[in-house]
Amino acid sequence: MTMDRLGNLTYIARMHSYYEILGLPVAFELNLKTLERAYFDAQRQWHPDRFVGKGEDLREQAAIRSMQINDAYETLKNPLARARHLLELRGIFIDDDSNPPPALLMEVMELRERIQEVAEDGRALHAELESLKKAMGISTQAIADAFNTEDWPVMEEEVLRLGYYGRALEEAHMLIYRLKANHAKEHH
Amino acid sequence: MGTLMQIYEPGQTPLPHADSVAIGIDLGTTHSVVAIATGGAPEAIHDAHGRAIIPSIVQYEGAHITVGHEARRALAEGEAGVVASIKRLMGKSASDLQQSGDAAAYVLDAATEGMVRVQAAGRSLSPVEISAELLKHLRSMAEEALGRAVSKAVITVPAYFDDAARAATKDAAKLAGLEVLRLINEPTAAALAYGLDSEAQGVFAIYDFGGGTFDISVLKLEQGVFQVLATAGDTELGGDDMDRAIAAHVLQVRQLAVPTPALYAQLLAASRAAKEALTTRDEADVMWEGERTSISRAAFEAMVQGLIARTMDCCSDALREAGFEPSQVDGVVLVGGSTRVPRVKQCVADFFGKPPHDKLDPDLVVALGAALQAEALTKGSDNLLLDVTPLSLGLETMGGIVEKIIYRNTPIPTAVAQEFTTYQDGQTALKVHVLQGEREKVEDCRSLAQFVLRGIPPMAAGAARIRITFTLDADGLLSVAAEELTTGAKQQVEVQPSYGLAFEEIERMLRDSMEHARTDILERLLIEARVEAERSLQDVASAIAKDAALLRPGEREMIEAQALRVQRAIAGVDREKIDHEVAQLNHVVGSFAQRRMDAAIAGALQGVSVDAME
Repeated sequence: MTMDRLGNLTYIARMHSYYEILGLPVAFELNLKTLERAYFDAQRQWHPDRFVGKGEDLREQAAIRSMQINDAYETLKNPLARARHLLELRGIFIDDDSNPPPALLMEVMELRERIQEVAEDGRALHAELESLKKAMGISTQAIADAFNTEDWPVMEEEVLRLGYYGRALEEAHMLIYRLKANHAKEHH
Repeated sequence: MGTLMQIYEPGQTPLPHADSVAIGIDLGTTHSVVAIATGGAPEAIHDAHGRAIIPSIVQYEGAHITVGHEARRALAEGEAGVVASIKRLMGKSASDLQQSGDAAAYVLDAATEGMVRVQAAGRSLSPVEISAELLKHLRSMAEEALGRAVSKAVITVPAYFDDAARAATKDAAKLAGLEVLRLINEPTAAALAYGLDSEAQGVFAIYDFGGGTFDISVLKLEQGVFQVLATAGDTELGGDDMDRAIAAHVLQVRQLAVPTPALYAQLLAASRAAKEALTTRDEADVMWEGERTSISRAAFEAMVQGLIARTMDCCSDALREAGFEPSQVDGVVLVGGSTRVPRVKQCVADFFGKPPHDKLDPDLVVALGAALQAEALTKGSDNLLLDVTPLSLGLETMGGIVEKIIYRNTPIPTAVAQEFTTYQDGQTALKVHVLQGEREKVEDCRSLAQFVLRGIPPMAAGAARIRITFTLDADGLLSVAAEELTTGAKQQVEVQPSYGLAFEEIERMLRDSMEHARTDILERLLIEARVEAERSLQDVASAIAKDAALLRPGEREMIEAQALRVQRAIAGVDREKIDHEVAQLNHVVGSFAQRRMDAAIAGALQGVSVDAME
């Protein structure tokens, strides 16, 4: 009677444009202050706290709206999620099963090997972390350029790349945390 | 947006509760406070003796129930039928208690399953009933002071309360005749009390060290919006632990074993008195059993340094989640009686590099914030609270792994759906097991609910499409719905505190999840490899059963020999070995699979009618 996962998480608002929900122009480049202001304004209008003591139907609809606004904000504030959403709006869906180009796969495998090799070396890990952050900045810019020139295949590949970088970054962070924890234990 | 307004019937009252009054309640582990806000100025409500801080203690004597100071006196004098610190048991099962070692502090009803029950004066009582008595007392205090009936409240809960404990709190309010307008997190309430007061802007840390729990929340205050960015905490860490540390010291100095529960309660009360005296003096005495044990402030600080250090670790975690350094925090707010301890104040100031705000009484500030929110919800307000869920929520999948559906620190309300499928051919039912926590494996997370979705039409494994939706409302309460998409078979549960629930251990679980992250991932990969291998074995077995005629001489033996190697690898713990043997199996099966494919295509072509071929 156990279950098996099928595909990615679907957010309830997925079928909508998150930009529309927050009343923002569709663009990859997004000022976080502008986003936050739009988010606050939308929640000020639709948060369930605004509908206490009102009719059940109205409260329900407001709650759904408030959920959509939260989804929209969480998605758009993250460059990778934002880029994926922009591709989705054009019918391009990237999930865990998407096949990356072999060259990208190679690059990512080498990157992760490099991180594993320095797993016990705090200084080298920090150096990898820094260069990874730089690479993520470059990739993010490439996504912006691809979006602006409507080059969807390039944007798709860069989104995959940024996703891999993100996971590698997480791994590096985890290794650093572990080093610190071990270090603290030894001190005890 | 227009559609929402159109369903608005003229008959429905458009003014929200214009004539009603709503109170704010801080239902604490050691003490509770009720407050009211009128015109934006919140005030704590006092009882007939002028006391605002009501001990969260209930005494049962036959049909007679006493709450508050009288019950505390009874407890200190060792009388029977007294229940204290009931908040620690909200939403918990008996087995949870055994794990946490909290059982010793209560006279538990042994004969019950599910929710824990407490024995008092010959009665078997649930934590919900006992909390309801506290709430009734607070409610009647407010009614006496205000001279009118009160039926609505905002009640605060620790940010780290899990779903079961929140639901139990709401149930207790219902029993006490109170409609809960909103459950809000204690640190958020404190921020509200300070923020509205000073029109502050920026990033704030709320350091809430109470009697039984510790919470830290990082909030952003801007344009009247209180946005919770991250929260962390420890549900087994509070001023009570300081009292216990002093008590343990006294027992050690006097070379005594742990006394009876009644005597120990008196020792704890004497220890607390000494702790309180040490906030202003350099030395205090614990008077117990006619003897005095002197304790210096320095000795006390050494006893509690470990407890304070644990709160600082939580602060680091929450700040990291929010993406801020301690120095980037614009202000720190102190909440909870334990922040009166000078050493605590000093450690907080050192950590954040600035003196904390302590203008408001730390024992009242949460109730004051709750009162403000109660007013905002009944009278309307420009301010808005945007809160997050403190713990991840997920489902059990193949191999006992938890698939996270809603991640911690996600803004609420929220709804997320995930599609699942069946694992076996012809599977018609699906167990839906809902879990809360950060770890990868089922046994390391908190089980919230289990139900079975039935009526799935028999299909090949992987063909059914079951959509499971998690909805988390603004109170942080979860409901789960499951639907089979091809037939529309549906099932929905409000997650109720009926299983082995607890809010304790959550912080430990969280910490463990960081420390175990790597082993968890390795274990998960191993389990996934096993699941994958089992699936390959099943596929091969059913292919052989169906198309044995296509096998060449000796081929079956070869395949079965390799299948055996796969099975042996599955029994072991070497993931690479499993993957290797499965790859070998695929290799051995390769040409048989090709023949099956060819036969299937040939069969399909035969089925095509002649006129379609032309």
